[in-house]
Amino acid sequence: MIDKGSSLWADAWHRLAHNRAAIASLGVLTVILLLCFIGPLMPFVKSPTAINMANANSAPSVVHWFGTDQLGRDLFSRVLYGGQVSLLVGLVATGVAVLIGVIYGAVAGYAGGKLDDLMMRFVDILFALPFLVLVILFSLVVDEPAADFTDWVIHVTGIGRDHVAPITTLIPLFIAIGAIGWLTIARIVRAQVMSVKKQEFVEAAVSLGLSRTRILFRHILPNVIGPVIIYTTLAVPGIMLLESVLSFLGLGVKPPNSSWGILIKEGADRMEAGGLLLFFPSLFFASTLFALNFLGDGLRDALDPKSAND
Amino acid sequence: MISRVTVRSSFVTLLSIFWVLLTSCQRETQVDRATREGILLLGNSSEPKGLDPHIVSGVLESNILRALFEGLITSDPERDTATPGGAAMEVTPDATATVWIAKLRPNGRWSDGVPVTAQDFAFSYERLLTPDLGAKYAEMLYFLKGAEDFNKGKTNDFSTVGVEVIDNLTLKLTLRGPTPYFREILKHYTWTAVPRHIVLKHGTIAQRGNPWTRPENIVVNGPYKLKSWRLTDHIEVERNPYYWNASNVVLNGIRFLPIGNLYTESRMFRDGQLHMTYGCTPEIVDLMKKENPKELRQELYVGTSFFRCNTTRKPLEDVRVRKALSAVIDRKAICESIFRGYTPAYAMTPPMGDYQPPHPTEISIEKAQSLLAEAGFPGGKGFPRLKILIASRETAATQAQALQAMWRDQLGIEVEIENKEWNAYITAMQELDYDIASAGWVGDYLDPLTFLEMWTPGNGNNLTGWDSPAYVKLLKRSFQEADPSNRFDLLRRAEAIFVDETPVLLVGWQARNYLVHPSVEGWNPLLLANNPYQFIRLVPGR
Amino acid sequence: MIRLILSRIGQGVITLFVLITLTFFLVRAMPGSPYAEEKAIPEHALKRMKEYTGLDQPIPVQYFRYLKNLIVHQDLGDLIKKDGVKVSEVISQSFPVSLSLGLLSISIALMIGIPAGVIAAVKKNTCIDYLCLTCAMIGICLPSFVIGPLLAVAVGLSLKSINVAGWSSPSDWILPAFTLGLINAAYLARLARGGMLDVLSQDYIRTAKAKGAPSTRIVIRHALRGGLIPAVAFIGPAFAGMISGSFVIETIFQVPGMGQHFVNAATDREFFLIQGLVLFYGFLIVGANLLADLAQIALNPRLRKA
Repeated sequence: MIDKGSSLWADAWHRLAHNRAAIASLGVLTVILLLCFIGPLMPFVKSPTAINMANANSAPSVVHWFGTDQLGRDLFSRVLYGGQVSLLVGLVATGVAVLIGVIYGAVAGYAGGKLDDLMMRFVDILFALPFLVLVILFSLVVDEPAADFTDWVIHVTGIGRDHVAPITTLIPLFIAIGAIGWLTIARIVRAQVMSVKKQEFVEAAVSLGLSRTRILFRHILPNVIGPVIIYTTLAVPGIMLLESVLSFLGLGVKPPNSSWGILIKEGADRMEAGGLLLFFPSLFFASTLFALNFLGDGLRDALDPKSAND
Repeated sequence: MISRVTVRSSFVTLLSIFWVLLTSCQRETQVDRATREGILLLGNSSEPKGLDPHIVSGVLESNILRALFEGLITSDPERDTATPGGAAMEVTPDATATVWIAKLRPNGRWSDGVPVTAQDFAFSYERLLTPDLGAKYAEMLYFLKGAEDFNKGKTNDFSTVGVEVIDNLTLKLTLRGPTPYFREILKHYTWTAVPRHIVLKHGTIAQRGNPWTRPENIVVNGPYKLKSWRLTDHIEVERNPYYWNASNVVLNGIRFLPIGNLYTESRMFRDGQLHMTYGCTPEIVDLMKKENPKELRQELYVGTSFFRCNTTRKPLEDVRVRKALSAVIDRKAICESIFRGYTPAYAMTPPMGDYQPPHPTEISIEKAQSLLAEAGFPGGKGFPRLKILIASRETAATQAQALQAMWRDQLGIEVEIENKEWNAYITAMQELDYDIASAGWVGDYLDPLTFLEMWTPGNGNNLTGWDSPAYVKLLKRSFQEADPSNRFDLLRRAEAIFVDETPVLLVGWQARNYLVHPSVEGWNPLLLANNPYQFIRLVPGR
Repeated sequence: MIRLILSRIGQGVITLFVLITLTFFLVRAMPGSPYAEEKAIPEHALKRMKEYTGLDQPIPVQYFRYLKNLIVHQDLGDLIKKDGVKVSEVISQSFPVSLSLGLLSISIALMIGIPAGVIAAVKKNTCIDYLCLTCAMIGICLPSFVIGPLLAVAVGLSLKSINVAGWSSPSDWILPAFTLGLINAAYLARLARGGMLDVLSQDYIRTAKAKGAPSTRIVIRHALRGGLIPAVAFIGPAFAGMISGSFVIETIFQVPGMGQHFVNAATDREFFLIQGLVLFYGFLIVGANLLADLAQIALNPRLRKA
């Protein structure tokens, strides 16, 4: 039932391809990814940091497609460059959080008993610790190593600082978000594993004498993938916004660089004075998330072993 | 279980929405009702740290204290320089402006009916200066002879301080030197009195956390007394029937709302929930100019925005570097596009009264570039990557990005922006652990000294490492000068040294942008924004 | 059974103890100090202020004093920056506000999220499915600091009887509760959809279908109970979060709740307030988990023997 090898994946892919919403979402995501990562290489995309205060807050025009911000910077290019940061954070930081959360939750749920109690009380403690205090402490510790690392990368690769720094300064952010974001996922995976491990096929695997690690990773985890996908796609928006909060506290994106979260915050503040600064970043942000969530639902449906009979 | 709760609460929600829609046409706004009742609704930024005038130190606290406590002299509702009596009928100097006699009003009463006496004032000054109280703002009383020594514990004898009770209604104040502007100083809330009998009833003279200011205990001598206080919700004051001038108090009460988010505050104002806002963001300034210019106030304020330079670090220890950095800042663009209504600053002290700050000749961009080259960085080559330290506030970030671009374009210098959460930012600045840091300063009283004294070495607000003996000498001389115009001359010469050496990059003289409802009458622009409330009239139907 | 409950309570107490100890030392490791002010405080005044709050003592001494105060006198301490205000006062004034806001918004979340998720599952991969999910997901695809002001302007400014912000009449509760509810509605809808789909493909539902039972009845009588388990499981931890307040919602709508204290206490370095809040929040979480565990044991006889 589980170990059908490649045919399971082929089935899943087949089902996904028939899900119109999922395929459309995939298309939207591809377009946004291309725009953000390939777009800035195009000659017609302006510098996101060039200031022209005489032309601040201008409306969309042929020169500035999305208009300009409060310092006269081109909003279109700021949205694209900001997208790089947000998408990277959404992908990498969420990935780190999910990886930690799945392994931790699976081990706790499968082990049960005292170990489970201990591990979950640890999660409780982390959950209740004041988040802001941790962030402030972390940014205190991480500042210098991050700067040294940036210098080292520049030294080794010989790439210009303008290209290296925006990426390397994000590393502390990935660590911080990954370290905080895994808690809920761990809880969910644990609960799912606990219910799955009582099912017959696990007992069968145990009686066959398979090792515990093998049972956990080959037999139990594939059965909790549905909820994990749903939680992951649900967690991405929160994590992307967490980035803007952390950046505001000095951890992560440094001005004049930006991200969707930061652009949206700036736009929301200026909402009453004209909504375009809010509209364009929100459009990209919301489209990405809608697409991601519909794709997540499609993936869940496709990977659901039971839905094969539908 | 859950479903039943859900059903019930959803029913309640639906009902309330329905009720709200039904009644939506009839209800008057909160401002309309408050206007009718003579209550002023005031946005006041955030929760006050307390109501003890000897303990607190902020602007928003002073807004509340002004309603509750009255000093010897209060501010005039119309003019900055006028000095009407308050708790004192008059405060008169001797020929050198060193010894001042205050005559209290015979009909002055605390809000519990006990007379206000000279002993209350003497007690208050002793309390504020007692080292054990640890008052942050004790410095404001250092104008009194011997006050500094007493406050720093060099003597335990309060009789060495220049405060003397002549009789129940007469107070003699001896100052450290000629102080012709002393009446301006007296307007500050540190000079108000606290009720001796109440403070001592609930604790000792120098006890921190003395519960006398708790809502159930507090007794005041101002036009208003405390009515109710809910944390992070509101503070309301009502008429004090024992106030000596109670019959001439127009306004019935004031409700202070601690609204931390300026955008929320503006929305509440536009929705008819506030008579007056604490501030107003640039975007709302633009919006109000278009929609409702009459409700927008843009007034001069005694504040300066600038960037501190750490003069103990290379290359900022070189005055040529600092001058070059300062010269290429496009102050006009920043003042207009980022702040709205600020004035480009060429000196630390904004013009006030008869004092005109020095006006140095401008340095051209070419000259700035050559200054930088002389300092060893032609075209910005070899210039280290400095960091601009900012607190996590958005206008600071915008301003820093503007400087970053201006220095890159004009001088070929790359700087980074370092964003720190507020407390860490203050700490870094106090430990001189920064290169360049955004900052601002608001004057405590209307005299240039409040902007100049801070730059002496060892002053807790200098924070630049800058130290100029010539500057200190001129300030010291001004302390002994009784003639106002000679004194201003000395201060101007001192300030010229400060401006020339550029330990800070001046940006703008601040303006206060805020919104006022048309029903508010008698709220005039004052430089310190210390308007007395009792003369405000609320006119319905506007 | 009783032994199990007792051991769970014991675990909870230990968790809280570890939590408060960690918090105590972490807050004191932060840069800055509770006395940092824009206008510097003179040295001798600072000394007196620290003596008053006991922060002049070595940290271990402070720690044991705090524990003693907490255990012997049940006292959470005083605020550092506000003379004479107690931590317990701050919590007791703000928690009822957050609790009522939390309860209302969770009801809104349930009213929107559960029906949207169930309908989406039943009408899987149709336009209705997508429409329900789209509506439900607005709450997470647009941040609350966008939805909040948008609602305030659209509803508050145009309807005279709904204030854009404040907390003086019950009508003031609607906008913040709605904004907060929308976020959680999205989670609930997605979870309900997933859970329902799992159940709807199970054999007993198929059997019921095959027997010709009408599909609405199948959904309501058989599928809902199992299908909502993930959504209901989510409400537990989410609830602790919602009733302890939300900084963003509170600042946008000027709500005197607990959320702003979590943020302001950290930035102001109000050590005792942070500790008090963390202890209170930890108590909520531990309590909620304990209740959840007990409920599980009560519902599932097999676990009782363990």
